[in-house]
Amino acid sequence: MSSLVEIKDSQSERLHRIAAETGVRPDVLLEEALELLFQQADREKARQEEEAFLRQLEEEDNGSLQVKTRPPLKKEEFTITHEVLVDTPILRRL
Amino acid sequence: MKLPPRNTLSGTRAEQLLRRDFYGVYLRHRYADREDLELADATSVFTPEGLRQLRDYLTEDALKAPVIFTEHLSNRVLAVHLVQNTVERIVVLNMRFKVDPDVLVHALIEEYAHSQQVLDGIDFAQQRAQFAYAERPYELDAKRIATTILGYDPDIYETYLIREEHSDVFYDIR
Repeated sequence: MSSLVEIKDSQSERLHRIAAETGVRPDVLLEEALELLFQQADREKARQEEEAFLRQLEEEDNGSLQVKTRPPLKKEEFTITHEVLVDTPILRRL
Repeated sequence: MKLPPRNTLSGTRAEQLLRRDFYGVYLRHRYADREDLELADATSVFTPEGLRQLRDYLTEDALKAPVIFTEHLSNRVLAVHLVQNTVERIVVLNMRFKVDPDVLVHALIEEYAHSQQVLDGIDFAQQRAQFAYAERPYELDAKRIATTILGYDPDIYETYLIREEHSDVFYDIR
């Protein structure tokens, strides 16, 4: 399904200027811009869902879990014996 | 193509294995760069059902290892197991990643399995010298236990790096 959308003249002019400068077709530039928009929307939705879940967990919390802050670990004081590696993480701000 | 990590425990295998209050503390702590945080032992992490399954493979001593949330691990490690003062065993979790809850629980089980290996006197140095990371028998065994308890290998989810690496990371892979 394709869509026909209207954009302002100033936006169209700028789009074509960028296309001329970069050698990328205007429709490809628009597709890339839309992809960024969709990613941003997905991130926002994910953040809202996670925050709502966190609020639910905090309402349920009866304080039985014992946690404490602690000074940072010092590398001269321990030996690492095992690690779980990360395979090429994607940089994604929440 | 991998799947994005899920945002809640709903519908995950982790829902049966991780305490909800643990996951709440984990999420809250993950939102911002904070001080290191310590939880007493595996009973602070896993549900009674999770602990029951862990006890099929691990001793009570192995489950006594505390868990520390930290910002100070490199971008290449999600979790580590360390030994302090030759006897203290500690599981350390990197808080700069967003991972699927099933990936989180798999990593935690792996590290507790490794805690058992330390108690069993496994010669890690020899295996490190002899095998590549993915072929080391102790790695394979810890992953097998985690995958068996979880029910599958959760290596189908993307990992999101949510904060930059600190300049003073205390550990990176060798």
